[in-house]
Parts: sequence; C-alpha cells; structure tokens
Amino acid sequence: MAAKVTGLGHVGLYVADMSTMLDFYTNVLGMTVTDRGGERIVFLSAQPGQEHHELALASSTDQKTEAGQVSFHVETLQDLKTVYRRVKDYGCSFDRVVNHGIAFGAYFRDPEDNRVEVYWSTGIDYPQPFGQPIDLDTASDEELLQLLDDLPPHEGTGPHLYGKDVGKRITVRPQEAAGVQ
Amino acid sequence: MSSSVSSLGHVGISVTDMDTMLDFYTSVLGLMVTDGGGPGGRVVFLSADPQREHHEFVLSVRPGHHSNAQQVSFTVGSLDDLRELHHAIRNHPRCKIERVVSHGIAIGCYFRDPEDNHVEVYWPTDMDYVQPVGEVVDLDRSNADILAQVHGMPPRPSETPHYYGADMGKRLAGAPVTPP
Repeated sequence: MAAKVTGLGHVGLYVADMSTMLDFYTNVLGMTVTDRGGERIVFLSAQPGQEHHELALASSTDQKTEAGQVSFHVETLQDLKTVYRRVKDYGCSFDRVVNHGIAFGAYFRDPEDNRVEVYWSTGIDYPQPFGQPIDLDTASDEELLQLLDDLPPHEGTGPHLYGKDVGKRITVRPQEAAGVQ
Repeated sequence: MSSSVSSLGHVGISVTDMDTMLDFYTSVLGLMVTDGGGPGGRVVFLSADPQREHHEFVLSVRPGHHSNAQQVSFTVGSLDDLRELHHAIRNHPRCKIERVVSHGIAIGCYFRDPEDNHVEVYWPTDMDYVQPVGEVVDLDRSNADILAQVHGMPPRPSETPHYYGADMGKRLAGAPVTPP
C-alpha cells in the first residue's frame, strides 16, 4: 500500500454546555485552549507545542456525540492516581477502573456523559481485549505493578508489535496470528 | 497544573457492519489491526503506528448505534499522501467527500466513512494559523500552487495564546494573547 494515515490527530465532540465542558477539560484534565471561535468551537491540546489540537469541542443544540471512548494518556502511574482523584472529586461517575496489561485505565463519564478514559501505558505487551478491576484508591504502586508480573499468558489474535516484552504473554505466536489476519 | 493528561491516545466508535468498516480502515486508510481481529471479532483495535501505540482507534460492534463524533481526524505524512488518500476515498462507493480545506495549520479532507461518521485525513503544514478557518483547496492542483495558497493566507486576530508551529505568531493580527 502506498499512502496511509500516520496517526490519530484529534477528535471532536458536540457539546451542549460549552462553559461546563471547557472548565472540565482544562481544570480537571489539564488541557490547554489553543484557539477558539467564541463559544461555537474551542480547540484544546495536552501538548500544545506538538499538536495544535487533540480535542475540539463544538457547540450544538441538536447533535450529540456518543463515542465508545475518548482516551487520554497520562505519563506516570502517579499522574493516573492524581487525575483519577481529581475527576472523582469533581463528581464524575466511574464505569470501571482496570488493568488492561498494556495499560491501567480509568473509565468515567464527563459532564455530558461521554465515555472518557485516562490511562497509563505500562509498556508491556498483552492481548486485548482484557480488563481486570483494580483499585486506584487503596492499592500501592508496588501492588499494582505486581499485577503485571502475575498476568497469565493469553491467546493473541493480533500481530503484536507493541511493548517492551512483545510476545512474552501470548500463547499463539505472533507470526501465526498475523497469518490469520 | 501538577498532573494532567499528556496526549490523546485513542478513540472508539460503534459499528454496525464490522467487515465493511474494517476493510475501509485497513485497506483504504491503511491502519493495522493490532488485536481483536480474529474471526467474529466484536471489538477490533487498530493503530497507524503499532510499535508506538497499541491502538489509536477501536471499532466495536453495536448494531444501529451511531457514535456521531463531530470529527475523528487522522494525520498523513505528506501532501502527496493526502492527495492519494483523497482519491481513494473519493472512489470508495460507500464514502462521501464533504470538503477539502486549508486550515493554515493543516490541509484537511473531510468525508463520511461507510457508516456516515465524520472523519478527516489531514496533512499538518507546521505553520501557525488562528483557528477556526477553512479555505477551499483543490487537491488536483500542483503542490506548489496549493502551498502558495496556504502560505498566502492573511493574518488573523486570535482570542487565545499561541503555542504551535514553526513560524509561531507570524500570521497573528494585532497583539498576541499571553499565556495565563
């Protein structure tokens, strides 16, 4: 194949209450407003020097977005706990907080009921989908990291190119899985 | 702020016809299936850069449900790639091109995917330009003509501080807004 996309750049959500949503994405998740067309559309980025915008909030009175998920990285496990706590204190409800192997993710509903995830990538390879409930309120970092070491090998369906220990926890060899595709 | 999200990682949408959607996102846009793509897979994980990101896009079977994102936007590596993808999307029987515009910061091709989702493929120009703006671009013109059009866009006033682009602030009209 010749031309192809090189990455996900941004996502746009329709919003009903711009001031509430903007307050949440800037003050709770910590994103930066990089441009705006008044209240009609606002552009945000978590890394404004690298990406002009990663999230666009577009005011609409009749359109509603129901994305399966919109997921944002955090850099460290400590950041995950801090952001998780801030989202919880804000009053958002959590759908689930899980160990995916490749990441620890906290899924919650933003102020307009969008399903949002904040996640810390563990750097290890593990077949998806997988989710094991974890407790970010009480578990220590050591206890959480131990969960990764304890993960049993699992059947993989993808080519498995990601992670510092690619293939370690897969019961089907990556080449075979790639052939199935 | 002490701890913040550090970047957008992935987006998930609902699909009704997984085979059609998977074919489009892999064969036309060139994303790679990284997990869940076995026979009858109801959740499929895709990435354009599978060594760096396990998944950037997730398709989940949920018949009849439309996620209705305002946009899901993917980068491309060059203006030539944008043109080639534009042609491939234009020729796809289930897609509809909506507009091709210069945002200054990027040239974007907006279209509806086979299940009517608003999707964009865009080439970042690395030029700073105040948003929102969109000036119609004809991708059948030469790269030189298109770049001349983009670089000729006039200065605009900004409501916000600017952080992005190799020529940050060059096309700002009036005094720049300082970061808080």
